[in-house]
Amino acid sequence: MSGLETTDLLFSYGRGIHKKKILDSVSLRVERGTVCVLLGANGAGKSTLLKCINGLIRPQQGWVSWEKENIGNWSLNRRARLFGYVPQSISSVSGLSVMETVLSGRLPRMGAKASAKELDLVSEVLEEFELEEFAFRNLGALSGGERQRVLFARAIVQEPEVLLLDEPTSNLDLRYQIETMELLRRISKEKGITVVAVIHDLNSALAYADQVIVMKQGRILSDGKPDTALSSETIAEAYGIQADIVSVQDRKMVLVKRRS
Amino acid sequence: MKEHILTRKYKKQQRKKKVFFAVTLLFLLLLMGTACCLGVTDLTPGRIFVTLFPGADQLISASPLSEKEINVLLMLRMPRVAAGVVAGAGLGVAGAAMQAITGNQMASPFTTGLSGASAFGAALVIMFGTVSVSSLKFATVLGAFGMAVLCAVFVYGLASYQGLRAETLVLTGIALNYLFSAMNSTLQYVANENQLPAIIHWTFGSLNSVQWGDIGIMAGFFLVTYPIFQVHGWAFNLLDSGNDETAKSLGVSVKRTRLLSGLGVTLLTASVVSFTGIIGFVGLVAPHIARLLIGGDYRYLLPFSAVWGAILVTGADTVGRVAFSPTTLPVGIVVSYVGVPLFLYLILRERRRRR
Amino acid sequence: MTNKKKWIAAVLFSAAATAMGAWTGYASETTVFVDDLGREVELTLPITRACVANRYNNELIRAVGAGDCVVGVDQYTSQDTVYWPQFGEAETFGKDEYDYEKIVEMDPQVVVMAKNGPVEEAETALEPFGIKVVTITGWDNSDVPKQIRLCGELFGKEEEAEELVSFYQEPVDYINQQLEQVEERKTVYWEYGGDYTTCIPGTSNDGWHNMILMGGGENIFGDETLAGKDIDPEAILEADPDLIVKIFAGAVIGNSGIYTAPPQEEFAEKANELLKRTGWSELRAVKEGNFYLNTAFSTGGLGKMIGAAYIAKWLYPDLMTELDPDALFVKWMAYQGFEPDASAYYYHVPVQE
Repeated sequence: MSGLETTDLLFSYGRGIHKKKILDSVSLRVERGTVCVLLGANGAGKSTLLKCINGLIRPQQGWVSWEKENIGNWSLNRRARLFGYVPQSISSVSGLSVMETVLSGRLPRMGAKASAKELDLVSEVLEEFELEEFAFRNLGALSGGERQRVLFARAIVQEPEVLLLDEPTSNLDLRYQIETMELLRRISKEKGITVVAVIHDLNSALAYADQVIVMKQGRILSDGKPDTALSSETIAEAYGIQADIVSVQDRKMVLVKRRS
Repeated sequence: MKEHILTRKYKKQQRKKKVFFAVTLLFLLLLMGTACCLGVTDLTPGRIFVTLFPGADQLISASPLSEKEINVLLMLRMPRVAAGVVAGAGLGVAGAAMQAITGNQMASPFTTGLSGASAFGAALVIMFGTVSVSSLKFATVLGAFGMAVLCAVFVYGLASYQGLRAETLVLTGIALNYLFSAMNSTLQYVANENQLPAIIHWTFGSLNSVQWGDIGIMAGFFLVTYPIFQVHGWAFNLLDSGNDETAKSLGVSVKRTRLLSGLGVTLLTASVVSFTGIIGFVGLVAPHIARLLIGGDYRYLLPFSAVWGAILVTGADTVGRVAFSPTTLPVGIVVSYVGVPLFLYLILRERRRRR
Repeated sequence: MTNKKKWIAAVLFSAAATAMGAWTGYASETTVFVDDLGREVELTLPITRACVANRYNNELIRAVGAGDCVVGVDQYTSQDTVYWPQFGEAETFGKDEYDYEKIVEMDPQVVVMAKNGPVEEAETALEPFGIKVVTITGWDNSDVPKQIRLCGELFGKEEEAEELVSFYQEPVDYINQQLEQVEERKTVYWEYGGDYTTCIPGTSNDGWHNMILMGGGENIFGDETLAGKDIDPEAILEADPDLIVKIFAGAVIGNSGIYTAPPQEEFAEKANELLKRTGWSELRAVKEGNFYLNTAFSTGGLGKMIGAAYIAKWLYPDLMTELDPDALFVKWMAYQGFEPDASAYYYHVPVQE
């Protein structure tokens, strides 16, 4: 039962009366090679949790461990080999082409120059993500959804053991949304990559996750298999929305009650 | 295994960049040669050839150079051209590095206040330095350099209290620029007739008093600091977008990159500016010209900015020397006149090409 | 000694003798010239070809009769084409920056510049061509005889230099002598070209302040601590000076005065402008007719001695009976080869009703 684990993570910022607690003693465990979905309203602390895990943010208390090893003192490079991080979006763009952006994912493992094998890896991933036609265009010329796929591709190219994704599907149309979730499930099963993703679509969570963690105001409300962790009560408490969990064609679905 | 088609295209693209770079380098060499030939006495390539190979006057009808002309070439013209190349290359590369670590394409080597600081250092020496005439230049160089370094230490030190964020660097630099501007104006106000021309002249930027020894020092600093930048090529690519998180999540130590590169920029810029005075605009625009021509990959952008910086300064100095004879316009003034139209032309061309 | 040894000795001896002779012969040809900054420069005097920067230097050199030896000048000199008709673009080697290639072309033996010029830079650049650099500072009026004598020594015009020194020294001595009878010095407000710009000791306008002192006046702004601050117009009204002198040049080139004086009507216009200033019509100097306008050119020459003479005459007309500033100016211009009318260079503001 090894994998990714956090223990009593505490993170707050600000001073005095403006002090705001973002993470309040968050402890969780994600088994290696599984897909874990983080749910919760905006401001629940999901993005911050991801950043604490991969070290972009230093928590004031608590620690993160991988395979029972505390990664608190790991070098940046070692972290970059472990974690592939896909941020929500990047507003500003650099002067790199799409191919070069994805190639930059090799940085933690690359030598002085990218080998032919690495270039081929990048090319294949671009192909898989249907980004070949944009390969030599500047990132700024792409739409939001296309950009998101580029960032995802970059994380894949890193060959990480853990993928942390912050709302990877928010800008994507239905087809790409499904494809992304399918891909995540596939690589966790086939390559043993541990996936932690922040998603807004509750039904995606039910369909693709092995584990669901619901957060509210920096604390974990529930943590477990999708069937058990996601209930009407949890949804109501986390989102303030009334919903039923129903069974349709052998699958569980979230049915939101209409108010009018 | 056969190469992926994208890989092949990518490699082709990289090759094209290298070829383009080589061509531009050749252009620079040609420019240098032309600059050496132009001046009060025109020394044509034919005459130089005949001087080097005495028998050749059978083939080319050109008179060899007199000893005086040889001295003019070696002791007046060539140092000037060499100085232009080294100073321009230094400022170009420093500008590119600065734009990378601040994630701001409007940055220049002087963003952290180096120009005002070095001018102030020089002015202090000119006004209050009790040194003999023969060591005045040395003292001025030292004063300028020292003040620039002090300023940088302050700026980076302050910024490191806020995690060396890009905005902090830029803002602190802006503040210090204003401070030094005020202090320099004050000094100019109270300077007497002797000192004022010297102080003001220093701010124009000029290659008139650069000697071979100075060029050696500048080149030395360039050779030492350039590898620092080139090694951080990929890190610059990531920082350039202004997004520290991306860089960190790919294993780049943002703080260390900024600190090391900042040190490099400071030393390189200070070494140039201490000898030539303030040559503005080059550090800002050479990277942009390079970017418009060769793209935003810093592994190519860095050397290309150096070459374009050298082209701009050498070209401007030659124009300033030759076009307004007998007055020689300081290169710091001419470089804007020469650089701006070129820059605008490239911007317009880019607009038309954009999809 | 054997024959062989004698022969060797003879050869060695004659070689030594020749060498010594050549050496002493060589030594007698160059002199160590000590310039204004105290630098010792080895030169073959007298100099026959020189590039000279700074118009005050060129004036002094022309006054000692060595004007023909000047083959190149800076733009500050040549820009006054009326005063220096012999120097055009071809004879100009630069303004603040010197085109060393051009200087080499002109083939001088030395380059003469003021002590605040790019001495070291020029020295290093011109050394490979055997051209020396010396400093003479014509604008420095703290020791004008020294500068004159340097010119004389450099160009072998020592006699003419001494004559010029006495021409300078005589009125200066006379003024000092007459000033011994003055118990309390009269006050002067001196204004430069710009409004309310005056000369404050220790600043770049030091020379003019010294001129006022030389003329026996007391500068109402003769306080070093005023340096860098704007002067308060009210302070003039409060001080109510005995004499007001305003520099007015009409057309100037690049901030320095030129030979050609503005027409008297322009002087009058400027005077009226100043009279309109608040409280000026009540000033003693205005009411008693001690308000003059003159040019920087006429008063600045020869270490500002001419200017000092005018001030002395205007301040103490009864004491300075033997002093004739107009004649001094005319004689100074004669040294320069010109014959202007002295009265065209100043304007006596008529007493206001």
